[in-house]
Amino acid sequence: MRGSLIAVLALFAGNLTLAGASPVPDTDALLFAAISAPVRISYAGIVEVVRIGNHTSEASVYRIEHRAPDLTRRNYSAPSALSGDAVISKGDVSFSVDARRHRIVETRNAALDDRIALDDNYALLRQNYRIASRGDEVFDGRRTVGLMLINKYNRHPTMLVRIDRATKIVLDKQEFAPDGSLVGEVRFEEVSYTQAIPPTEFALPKQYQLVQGPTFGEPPQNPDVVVRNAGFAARAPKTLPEGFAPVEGNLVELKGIRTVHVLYSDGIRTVSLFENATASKLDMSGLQPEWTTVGARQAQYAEDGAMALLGWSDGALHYALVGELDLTELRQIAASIAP
Amino acid sequence: MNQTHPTPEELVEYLHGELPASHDAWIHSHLAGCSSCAEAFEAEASLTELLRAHARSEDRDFPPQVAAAIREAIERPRRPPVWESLRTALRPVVALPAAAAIVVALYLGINSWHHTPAAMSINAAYYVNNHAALTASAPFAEDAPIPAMLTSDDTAADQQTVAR
Repeated sequence: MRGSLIAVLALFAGNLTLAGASPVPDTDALLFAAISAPVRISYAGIVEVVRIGNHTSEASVYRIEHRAPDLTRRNYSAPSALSGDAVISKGDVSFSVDARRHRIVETRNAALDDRIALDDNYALLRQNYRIASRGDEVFDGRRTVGLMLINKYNRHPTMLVRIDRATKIVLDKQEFAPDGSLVGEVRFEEVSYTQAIPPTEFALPKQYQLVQGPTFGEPPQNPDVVVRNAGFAARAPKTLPEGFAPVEGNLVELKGIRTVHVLYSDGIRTVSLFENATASKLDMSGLQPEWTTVGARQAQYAEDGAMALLGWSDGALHYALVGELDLTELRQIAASIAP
Repeated sequence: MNQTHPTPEELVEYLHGELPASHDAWIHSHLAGCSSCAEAFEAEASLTELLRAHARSEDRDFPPQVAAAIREAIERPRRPPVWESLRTALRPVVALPAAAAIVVALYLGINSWHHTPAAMSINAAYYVNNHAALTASAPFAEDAPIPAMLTSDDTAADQQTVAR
């Protein structure tokens, strides 16, 4: 059923493309067309990415070449530590070309091909966010439609996307914190659309050593199945931020420690809960951890760019919450995880 | 036996039936033929009877709670003294299997102590990277600005999805 929904929406998106400069189309269909556009459209351009945290922020600039449906190459020009590096993606496999270390690290992430999770996330997004059209705009010399996604519960604008009217590619995406401050932005410049990107552009350099990196395995599972197969009595939070629901999960061994990972989402914002039953210590070296509490227990909190991390133990299980939520929200979730 | 007459203490013990059988028999036959010892015995017996009569006349019941406490103390299984428990434990039939068990436990304990690492340290980056991987299916998801695989010497290859 989901597959046919995608097909119908993709067809609708195609019609919209053919329609060209017709009136602003239905915002719902336009949004979905934007999500699936890279599967149909090949493009090249310069991308600037920034993630703004309270303590640290990250930014990078890269040239992107994308050949539909799933070949992408990013050549980094900034920061200087990444200059000359590249990431080449082919479906669910990514190759990080590390010029400094003369190596290529191969990683695999089945979530990249998880259409069911994508559809579930989209359903959540539509359930929890209202789409407000800002009408026609011009961005980087191209006609775009601006769509603001507004959280239905707190009524805060959470994301703004500027969608190319002709191709449905998102040329600019901004995310906002509940207080309205900018959390992150991804923006295209000098974008061009072409089918003429040769496959050789995505070839791996032969003189580098290929190293196996982490694999994120088979497609993620239903969270209930993951918890059932944990091998210990994993616990779920009784309280989540409004609109959040468990969407997927997996069982992963981190340094041999069997760990349950469940992802919660409201369609845009996400938070992961990790838990295991083996005595383990959370290493936050490189971050600036601070002590806080979860109920009566001590907990460690740190921010990694815009990502926040809260770790604690109740004696029997050891937990970590990771996501782009603030400390108050993380502590509320954590406190609701009770034996 | 060279003794000619029983001592007053022996007469008291005879009166209470606390002498060995042969000694008891000797005193019994001696009293039959020795009037002075028989008189002394009768005097002792009279005194004993007098004391018993006096005790009976002064007899008072214990308060009920004291009597109950005493009965409970009598009926409670007696805890053997420490030395007695130790002596029991050291009997060969108990001590040998116990010693064997201790040796095995020590062996296994030391062995596992050598092989079980202390609390494993998991870098926060593992959690952040796994979170980022799973969110790849979220609408408008994008890669991190700084790819982790390009900034760390660690390839994080020591993590894997659990086979299902």
